[in-house]
Amino acid sequence: MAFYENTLILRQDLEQTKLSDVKDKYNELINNSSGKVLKIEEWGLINLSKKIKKFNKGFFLHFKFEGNKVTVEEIDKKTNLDSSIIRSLIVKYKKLDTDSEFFKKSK
Amino acid sequence: MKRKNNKFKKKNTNSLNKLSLFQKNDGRLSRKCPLSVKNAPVVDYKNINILKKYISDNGKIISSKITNVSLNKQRKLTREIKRAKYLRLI
Repeated sequence: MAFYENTLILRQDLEQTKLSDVKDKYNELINNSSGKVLKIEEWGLINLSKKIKKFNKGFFLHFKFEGNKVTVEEIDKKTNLDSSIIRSLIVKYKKLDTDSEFFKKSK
Repeated sequence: MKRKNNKFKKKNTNSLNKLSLFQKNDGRLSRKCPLSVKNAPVVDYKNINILKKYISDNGKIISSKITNVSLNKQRKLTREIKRAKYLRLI
C-alpha cells in the first residue's frame, strides 16, 4: 500500500449539485477498489494561467488516499471517459501530511 | 567537508603565499542553499508562492548558478514546477 494524491480540474460551468456528485462518485470509487480516502479538499474556482480547451477557470478537487496499483488504474479509466473533468494528476508519496492546506477557502 | 578542510590547511601553512597576486579569495562568494536550511519551506506543487521565486517573468526556470540552490533540491524544484504548470497553477 502506498499514499497518493489526486487532483481533478472540473469545468467552470458546472452546477453545485453536480460538483458534489462528482465528489461522491470518486470517493466511492476509491473506497470500493481496495483503497481508503484520507482527506478531501475543495479549492474552489481558480483562474487558470493558460486556457485548457477554451476554459479560463476551473473547479479544483483534491483527494488524498491510500491504495495500490488497482485503484490508480480505475481512476485513470474513469477520468478519461468523464466529460466534466478537464485534467487530472496523480502523484505518489511515501509520506502524507494531512494537516497543512495550501489552498484555503477565502470567501 | 573535505574540500573546506583543505582550504584551511593551505592558508595556514603557506603564510608567505598571502602576498602573492595569484591567490584565490575563496569562500567569499559562496552562499548556502536556501532550501536545505533548517525549517526550510516544503518544495511541493501546491506551494505556489515558493515556486514563483524560482521562475522568470517568461515562465522559465532560473538556473541554480544564480539562485544557489543545491543540486538535489534543484532536481526536485524542476519536477514540482512542471507539475504546477501542467495543472495551470503557475
